[in-house]
Amino acid sequence: MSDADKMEIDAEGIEEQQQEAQTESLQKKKKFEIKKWTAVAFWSWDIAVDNCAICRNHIMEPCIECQPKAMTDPDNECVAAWGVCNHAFHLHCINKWIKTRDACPLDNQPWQLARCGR
Amino acid sequence: MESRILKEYKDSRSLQSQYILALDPISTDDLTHWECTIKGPLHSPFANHTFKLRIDIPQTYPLTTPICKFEPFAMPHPNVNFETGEICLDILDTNWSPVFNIQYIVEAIVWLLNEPNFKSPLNLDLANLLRFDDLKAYHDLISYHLNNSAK
Repeated sequence: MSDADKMEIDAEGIEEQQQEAQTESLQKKKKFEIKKWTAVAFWSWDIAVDNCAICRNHIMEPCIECQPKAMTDPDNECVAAWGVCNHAFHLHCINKWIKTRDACPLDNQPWQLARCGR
Repeated sequence: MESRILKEYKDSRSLQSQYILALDPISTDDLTHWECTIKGPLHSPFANHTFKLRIDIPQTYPLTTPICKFEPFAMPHPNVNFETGEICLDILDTNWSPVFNIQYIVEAIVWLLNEPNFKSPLNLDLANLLRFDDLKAYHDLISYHLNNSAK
């Protein structure tokens, strides 16, 4: 046998092996495959109230007085404020109210600021 | 705080209440003056009568309370000044909170008709009848006033 013949056989042998492997992998192939997936998630604000009970705007949006200028001024510093009672209002709104009476408008307990921000 | 009143006006358009027959601004151009018609609560001396309330919203609303009055000489009640219609109700005074709105106030006033309190009287005659538990005289005096004012 010449080297060339040997190589031919060998090559054929490899081809056969490859074909076998291919059919084997086809048989093992999954019944379906994922082409595309779309994740869907739900979310909500992690606070007790959605609307500021004083101005009735959403707590994460500017208060009723800042609302008109919020469009033109995106750096507006109108933030939400939480009391130790965990009730939330706009900082602007609650600051105005506590001048009248230093109590949470929702539970009438003395107002104590816990944190403010977005 | 004009636009909070605007929100309340929009909400009041779909208002449905057993005792609030009408709750409207006197003019839609100016939402600071409202008129309200309420029905006397059942099982109270005011049943089968309707009453008008005048509500004036201050510029500082909701940080300060609206001014609510009955029509003069129309509401014989221990906590209402008969001559002026002025109402003594804690949430309209020291217990005001900006959380309350116009509808809530009106509902509280309807509740007050059923739950008079002789400890903070604006009508001494009726408050005294209530204090000494003379319920017949109390009801009769209210009926007398109501029937007289209807004429």
